[in-house]
Amino acid sequence: MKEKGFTYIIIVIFIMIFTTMLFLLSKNINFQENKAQKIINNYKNEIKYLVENELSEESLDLLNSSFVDYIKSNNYSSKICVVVYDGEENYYLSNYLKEDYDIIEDNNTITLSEDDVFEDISFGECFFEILRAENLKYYIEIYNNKEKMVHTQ
Amino acid sequence: MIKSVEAIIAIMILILFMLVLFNSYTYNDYKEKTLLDKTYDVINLKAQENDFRESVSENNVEAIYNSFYTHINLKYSVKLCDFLEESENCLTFGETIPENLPVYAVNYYFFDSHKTLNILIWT
Repeated sequence: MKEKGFTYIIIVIFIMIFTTMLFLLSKNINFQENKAQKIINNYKNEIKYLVENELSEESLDLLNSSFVDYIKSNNYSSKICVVVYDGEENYYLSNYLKEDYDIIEDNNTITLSEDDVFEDISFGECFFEILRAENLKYYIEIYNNKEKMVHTQ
Repeated sequence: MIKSVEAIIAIMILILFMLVLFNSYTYNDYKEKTLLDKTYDVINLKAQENDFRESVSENNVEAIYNSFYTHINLKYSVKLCDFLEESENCLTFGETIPENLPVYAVNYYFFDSHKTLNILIWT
């Protein structure tokens, strides 16, 4: 009789262990999601500073290359495309290019005159609809083998 | 009789455990999220200021620490690293980081100076 009684206690202990493991696992998944989101927010904030303060081809190129390295160091891969219009000219930036894409040059950054802007531009898999009224448009995708997060503006 | 008493005890332990776990889950999540979101919002705003970015590029960790003083009402410390948090080239300023307490970290990367700012907070 006593042995049968203890089975309830043992079952409860197993349920407690199982629930605790689920709890810890869900905390870990939330942390990973936050990390990718934080990187995207970091990128958004840095490009905002750049556009408002020191926009140039060189600084855009630096932003792109620095962030790609930073994202890699956090164990993610990235596809980033940006179009910035500073009132006079457009800056195009991408780290994800198809080989036959002939507008982008070797350093991933080129400048086109306003007349050259057309409505739909495809940077590899990054897709934009460009409107002249918008001064900043970007696509950022961060992914690894477990998750993927996309942000467009 | 003994069996039914043990069953009741087992059910009570289970209910108590579930309540403690649920409370811990919701309270910690809320506290952690509020704390980290608030700190991250402050960093985002500070990162738009040229003076603050200058402090970051000049490794002035004391100035960085002081600029957060009115915004964070818990014990905190700042850690500024070259490029990555794991980098050996880090400067730290602030309260001594405790070893036995949970420490929350908020990271921000500055692309122009290649530095990562880490705000470490604990209760």
